[in-house]
Amino acid sequence: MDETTRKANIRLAVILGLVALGFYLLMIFFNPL
Amino acid sequence: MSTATTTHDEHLDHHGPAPGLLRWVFTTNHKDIGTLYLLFALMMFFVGGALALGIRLELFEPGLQFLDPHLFNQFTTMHALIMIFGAVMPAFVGFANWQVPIMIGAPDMALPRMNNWSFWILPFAFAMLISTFFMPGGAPAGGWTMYPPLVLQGGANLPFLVFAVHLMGISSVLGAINIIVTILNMRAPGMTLLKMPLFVWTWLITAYLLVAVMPVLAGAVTMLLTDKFFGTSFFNAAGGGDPVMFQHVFWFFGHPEVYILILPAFGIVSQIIPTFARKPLFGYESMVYATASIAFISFVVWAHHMFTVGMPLAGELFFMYTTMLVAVPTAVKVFNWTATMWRGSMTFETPMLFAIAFVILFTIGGFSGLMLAIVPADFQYHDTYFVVAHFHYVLVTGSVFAIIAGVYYWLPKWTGHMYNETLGKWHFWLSAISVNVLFFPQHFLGLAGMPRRIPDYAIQFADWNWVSSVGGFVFGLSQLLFAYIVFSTIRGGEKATERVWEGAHGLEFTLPSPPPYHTFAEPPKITEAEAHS
Repeated sequence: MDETTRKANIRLAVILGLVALGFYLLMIFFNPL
Repeated sequence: MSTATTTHDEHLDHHGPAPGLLRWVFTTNHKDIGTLYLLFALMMFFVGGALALGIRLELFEPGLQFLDPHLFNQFTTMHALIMIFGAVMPAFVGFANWQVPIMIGAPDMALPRMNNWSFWILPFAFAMLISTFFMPGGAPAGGWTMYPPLVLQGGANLPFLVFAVHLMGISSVLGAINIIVTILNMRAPGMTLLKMPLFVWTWLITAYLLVAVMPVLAGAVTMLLTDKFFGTSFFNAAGGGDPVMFQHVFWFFGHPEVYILILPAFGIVSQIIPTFARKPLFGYESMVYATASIAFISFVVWAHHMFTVGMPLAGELFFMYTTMLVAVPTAVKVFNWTATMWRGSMTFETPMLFAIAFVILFTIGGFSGLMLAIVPADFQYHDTYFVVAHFHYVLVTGSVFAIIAGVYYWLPKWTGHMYNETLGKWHFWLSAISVNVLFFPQHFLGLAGMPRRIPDYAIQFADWNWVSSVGGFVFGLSQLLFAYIVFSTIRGGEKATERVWEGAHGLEFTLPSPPPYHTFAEPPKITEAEAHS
């Protein structure tokens, strides 16, 4: 795996991880349901 | 001397797995991790299956014979948690690990070390969950839906349940992130999104669902934990909270979860049917859009699980109509599978038999789902055995049959050996007949008014419960044959060819059987014959 792909993979994984964390915190602190 | 000029990467291309058991602990290879997931899932199938047999044993005749009511409730709760989170989901992640990289021409998953971590969290989560059976007060007994206030009134198991769910959630989200990143960033040149095999498409969409809803479940159980131990009142009416809000939050996770459990099954069946019909999949693009539509609609149907809580009429109508809307893309899929088989040169090897059984029996589960979507009818069906029959048709003859079909289909590729076709057919017919004996009578029991989650019942329900239990034991024991077939194929057998099946297409079938430890270090060339397959 070349360095550019490796960095792109990590960047996308971090974004998705933050989205997941966001949903978790949203449900507890600003529950829209 | 030549070693001095060998680069590290070239060296990696040639080496195989590390020797000994530590290979499995430290592995970052997608094939090894796929195998670990699949073996873990198989083990959990048998643990969850043993609990199911305990349930059917108790329900074999009226009265209390083997399990006291509290233990019975623990069995139903743990059966569901183990089967959903320990068996079906890890089995599909196992398929994704093995198949996604070799179907899109990638050398491995995008984040191999995270992949190792995703798997190894699971055994600890389930060890913690199952250990609750040995605690004072026993295992969770309030149902897998964990509704408060009941779940807060159990024994010492709540923190273990909550932490186990958190760990399963972390494992699933990390696995899903890995799958999304692999599919979006690691495809071989020329493998455009609309050339990907349908199994890869269904997993891409499933992975997005996982990232969106597993944190919602984690949030819901965190709030249960703080209600129990830290004085909050999220779901406590006496403190200004609302127990029904838990149901909303839970099912906002729970309904997409249902599609997480079925979309990869659609993908597996969409690979198998074209192979044995010797025709390309009918309506490839409509399959992709139907999958995406099902995933989208899954976010706006959740309250059909709670029609009886006393929602406003407008809410009941909204959720009834959105639920019925799911039938449209699902029907597109069923028609496409049927059209793929239409005038094909069909043969009926074991994977195809399970795939055809999937199409027919999953559709029965879909139809009973439509019945349950009708609000006034649901008031009668709610919490009866009709619901149990419905979701077992969807999850057992749906998800589990697709998993079994997928194992028979790809096992020769994974192991390099053909399984025993005669035993495979025995396994199919025993399973297909007994699973209907097991679950079809539960429709009758539910319509006659037998409630679910009870260890004893009125005498009028005795006959069909007897039949259902006999079916359950035959089905359960038939799966021992499946385990025997799998392990004997791993050990040896007739050599599988590269293509394995005459009508098989796809990049995985351009590799030797079994594929080498490292594949596609150089990206493959995508030909028209292997696209869409």
